Amino acid sequence: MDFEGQKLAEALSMAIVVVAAVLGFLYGYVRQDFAAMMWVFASGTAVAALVGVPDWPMYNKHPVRFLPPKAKEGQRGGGSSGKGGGSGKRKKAASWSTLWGMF
Amino acid sequence: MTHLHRLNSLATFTGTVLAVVCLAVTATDFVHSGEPLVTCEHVSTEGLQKEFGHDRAYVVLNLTADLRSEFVWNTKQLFVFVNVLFETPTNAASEMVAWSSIVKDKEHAVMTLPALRPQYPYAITDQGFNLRGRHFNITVAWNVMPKVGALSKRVRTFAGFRMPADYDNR
Repeated sequence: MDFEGQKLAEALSMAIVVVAAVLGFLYGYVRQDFAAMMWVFASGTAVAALVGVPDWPMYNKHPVRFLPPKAKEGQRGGGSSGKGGGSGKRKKAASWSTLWGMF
Repeated sequence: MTHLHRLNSLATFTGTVLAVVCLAVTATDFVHSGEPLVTCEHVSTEGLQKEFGHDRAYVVLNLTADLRSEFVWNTKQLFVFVNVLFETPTNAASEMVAWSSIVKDKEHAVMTLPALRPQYPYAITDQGFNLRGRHFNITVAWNVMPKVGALSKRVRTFAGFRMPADYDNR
């Protein structure tokens, strides 16, 4: 499920629960039947769970697109000034391993 | 964001909505006003005795009640009491439950009891010897127990009854 799908799933299930609550309240009041209200509400909750909980295909229509990598693999650590400690450590580790490889 | 996260968020949201719905249901109780027909009177006294240092009366009451209008969608059951009240020089208020009943549905909310005797033994007892000629009141009280919300208490008072003027050891 992508981000747009999460938004849609949450909005749909909340809307279904609220509509079921309002309809159930009105139905129960008109019928003067408390159990009828609870059944309408429970049915609405079940529908909301069915709609909002599983990862339906309609929630995957906006997949996250990552930007293409800026530089190629071989040129990493070459010229950029942004990366300080991390790349330095890696360099050191690499040099030690090459040193070990000599023996 | 797995299906369990979504299920959890739906469950908590449902709980919140259900609480709001229950508040709305109790709000309808304030709009509704039942006007039940209730009468209760003293028919006769089957005995007024001095027993073990107390005065005891054996009264017969006539109860007619139609509590059907108390049954709305939020009513679970009613607790109905018939009380006998009197005051004596020593005790400012004596109240005794003569009879009580639990009404669970509308079908049983009509009560016609022309000869209602106290349900509990020695119900009408005075702490002393003051029952002869004593004026007393009868109250019919009922508690409405809702499905959601607070218990509400209602009471009707019927006044102007009197015990026999002298002991009657039948």
